[in-house]
Formats: sequence, C-alpha cells, structure tokens
Amino acid sequence: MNFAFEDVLTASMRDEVAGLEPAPDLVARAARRHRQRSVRLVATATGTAGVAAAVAIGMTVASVGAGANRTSAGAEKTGPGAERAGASAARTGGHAASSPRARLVAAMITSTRLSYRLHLVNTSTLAGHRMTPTSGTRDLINWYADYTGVYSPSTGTGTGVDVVRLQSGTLAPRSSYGTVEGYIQVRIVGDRYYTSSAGNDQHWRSGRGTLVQALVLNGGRAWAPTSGASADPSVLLAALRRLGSVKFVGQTGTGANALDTYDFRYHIAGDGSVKAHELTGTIVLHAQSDLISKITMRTTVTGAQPQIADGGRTTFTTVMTFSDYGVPVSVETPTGVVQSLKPLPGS
Amino acid sequence: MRSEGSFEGLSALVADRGAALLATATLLAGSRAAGEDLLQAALERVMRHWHRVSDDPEIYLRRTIYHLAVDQWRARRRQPEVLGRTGTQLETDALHAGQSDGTDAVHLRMALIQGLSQLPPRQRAVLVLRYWEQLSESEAADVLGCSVGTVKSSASRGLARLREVAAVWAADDSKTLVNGVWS
Repeated sequence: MNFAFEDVLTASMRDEVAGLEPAPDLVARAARRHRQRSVRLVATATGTAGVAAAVAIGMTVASVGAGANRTSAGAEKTGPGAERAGASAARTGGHAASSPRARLVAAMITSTRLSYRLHLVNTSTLAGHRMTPTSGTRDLINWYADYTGVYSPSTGTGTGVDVVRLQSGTLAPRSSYGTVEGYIQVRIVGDRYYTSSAGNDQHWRSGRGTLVQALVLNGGRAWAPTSGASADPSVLLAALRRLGSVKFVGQTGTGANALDTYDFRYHIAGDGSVKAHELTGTIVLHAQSDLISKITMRTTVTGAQPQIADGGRTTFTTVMTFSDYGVPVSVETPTGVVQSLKPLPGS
Repeated sequence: MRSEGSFEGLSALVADRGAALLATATLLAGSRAAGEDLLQAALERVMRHWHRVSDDPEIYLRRTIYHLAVDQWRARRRQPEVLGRTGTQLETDALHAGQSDGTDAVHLRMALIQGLSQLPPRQRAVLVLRYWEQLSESEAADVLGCSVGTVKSSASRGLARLREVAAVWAADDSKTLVNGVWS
C-alpha cells in the first residue's frame, strides 16, 4: 500500500477537527469583548482629550461670555479654574487629566460619543396643594415618566419605552391618581422623534426634536425649557460643560466598584415662562473607566404660564442612569401612518 | 458599507460556516480551546473594521484568522497547546505508534498533528493553507501577505520536520519512504 505523506497530513488534519462546532454564543462573546474594548479605547482617548477639553472650556467660557451671561445670569464661571487645569495639564504632558475635574470633563465627552442604555425618570411635583377645602396641603406628583431605552449620540438614534403616569392634583382627575396613563414607544432618528402606543407599529406621531421633547409631548409636561437644564443627556452634558459649577465631593467604594461623586449647580435666567432659578444635581462616575453612571438633578420653578408651572411652584426631578456603554443601537424609521406634529412651544 | 454595532452578517456567517472556521483555527492554534480563542479574537478584529468590510466577510475573517495566528501568537511568543507533550515524548509516541494492532495510521496522524502544533506559526499556517485548505502556493501567499518563495520555504521546512516525526514512527515498523511516498 502506498500513500503520499502529504495525504497522510491532510487526513490527520481532517481527523483532528472532525465534528467541531463553535460555541453557540461565540459571536455574542466576541461582540461583548468588542464593545468593552471600544469603551476602554474611548475612555483612554478622552483621558487625554479631557485635557484639551478643559482648555477648551476655559476658552469657551471666556470667549462666549456674553452668550453665557445672556442664558445664565449669575452663573458661576468656572473658566479660570478650567484654564488653570488645562494649562497645568499641558505643562505636565497630560497627567492632569487624572484630576477630578478633568476626568469629569472626559467622562462627559465620552458619554456623548458612546452608545448607552438609559433609564430616565422624570417627576414633577406641585408644592402645597389642598385636595379638598378641608384637607391639609401636600405635595402632589402631577406627572411621572419612566423611560428605558438605548441611545447612540454619535448616530443620533435611539429607541425605548416610556411609562407615563398622570397622578393627581389640579391637572388630572382625582380618580386617575397613581394610574398608568400609557406605555409609549419612542424612537429617535436623527433630528426627529417618533412616538406610538406600545404594540402599535402602524400609527406614529412624529416631530422635530430630541428624546426629552418626545417625552414632553407624551407626558404633557417635563422639564421647563430653560437654558439647557434639559433631561436630554446630551443637552445637559453640553450645558454643564459650558455653564456649570462643579465640585468634587469624593470617592466611595474600591476597585471596579469605585465611584466618584460631583455636585453641580448653575443658575438659570428667567424668561417669559419661568422666573430665574437654581438647578442642582449630582454626577456619579465610575472611577476606573471615567464613564458616567448616574446624574440626578432638581430644580424648582415658578412661572406665570400655567402650562409651564401652573402658576405655582413646580419641582422637577430627573434621575438618569447610564449603563451598558457601547451597546449596539439599531433603529428603523417607522413606517405606516406617520402624523407630523408641530414643534412644541419653547422647545 | 455595513452599519457599526450590528453584526447580523457575522452571526449568519458563523452559523453557516462556523465549523469550518473553527477547524482552521484549531489546526492553527493547536487545540480546540485555543482555536476557539483564536476564532473569537478574529471575530473581534473583524467587528472593529466591520463598517469597512465590503467583500465576502468569510474571506476577510479567514485572512484575519491566519494573520492573528502568525503575528499575534508569534508576538506573544506563545506556544500552541500541545496536550502536554514534549518533543521527545512526541517522538516516543511515534515510536510506539508504529507497533502492533492496526491503529498505526491513527497513531501516525496524532503524531503529525502534534508535530504540526509545534512548528513555528508561519510554517504551521502554510501547511494548513496548503494541505487543509488545499490552496495553491500563490493563493497561500496571498492570504498570508507574503511571497510565494516564503510559502515554498516555509512549507518545505514544515514538511521536513513532520517527516522527521514520521520517520521515527516508520523506522520501528520497517516502512520505507521513497520520494515522499510510504510503502
């Protein structure tokens, strides 16, 4: 019997790999690692970019002071501090990027570049209402929205579901207190939002605007349109970079669980709808990755226009929780009947 | 042009051709586990450039597997997994494999696979391309991004080493090798 050596080698290879099948989750594992790597790369890159951004912040505040003053009279300008941080960073070859403020800036930039999963809860509360002539006063939640979805800032696309509740007070019947008003599908495609009742893919309402404007539309009211004090993360982060006073509070936890906390505050000028007011909040960062974990913010506004503040004091609270950075975001423009809506007043 | 973040095409490719891809990766890496690591690493690399992959993704993925096998494994100076046997043990195995009971061919094949896994990465890749994928020398050179001459020399050295392994196996059983043919 004759056989060529190369044939034996080929047969050996065939025997060796006979019956091999890849693990069912192989692609998913690769995708997960790919996303983790992307996050690490962007975080690393923005660690350096944060230095430049810190410089840019100082320059921005200095150069657009007129605009900043117009929209936020009395805002605490942090430009000089940022300039010092930037200049220091430049001198030290970028090491100052590890300073809390520079890292916060880096995190903000990163969070406007990476896709993420967002859980956003908006609550507006009317202070001191009396339910009946004889009852005592109490704060009433008049609107509550709980949105969960994914969003990609780089492509401007997102999708999620918003749970809306109208809960009591003068704005809704007493019987509706605590009831769920509806589940709303939300899609963001570029500069347009689309909303529809959950489960109905054939009838959509659409308008030009952002995620928060989609929530405003369906919830009836959300954040007052005030100079960047928006529940839209990208708008808020941009506003904080331009306007806010930020203070590093400290770090909790260790290792992968370490969290850095910052308090922020800025003054928002009054306009035709609301009086001047303060916005305060907290930003929590993952210390290892410099990615934003959570933002909470709160403000109380008083306005003359009932549709904004009902003539009394309304407190808006937003909690944004970010997770799953790098998550794939695939959003299709809705088909079927699409009803175009006019822009909201003040949006 | 493909959308970033969505890898449906890759999922379909792995569902359809995963066994063949894993086979190649396993031969290159030396074990099933290492092969799956290599295939996963190649998938990650392809995902990174997914938006630029306009050709057949399988071609791109296969090239990536080979490049990683040659470059990454060499860069890490990582020897492929060899089931815990040394070169000396390998030759001993081959010696004993030639004896007795009709399982000669199986033992020889095992010895060759172990010998293959101990070759330098480029030689191993060339032999897998030539004798598993059945590519020509020029096609193998194209996949590896090297010259045909490099493929020829790598194949020649790799085969020579494997023949040494086989010769040890053959010597004990009075088989003869004439012009590359065992009789």
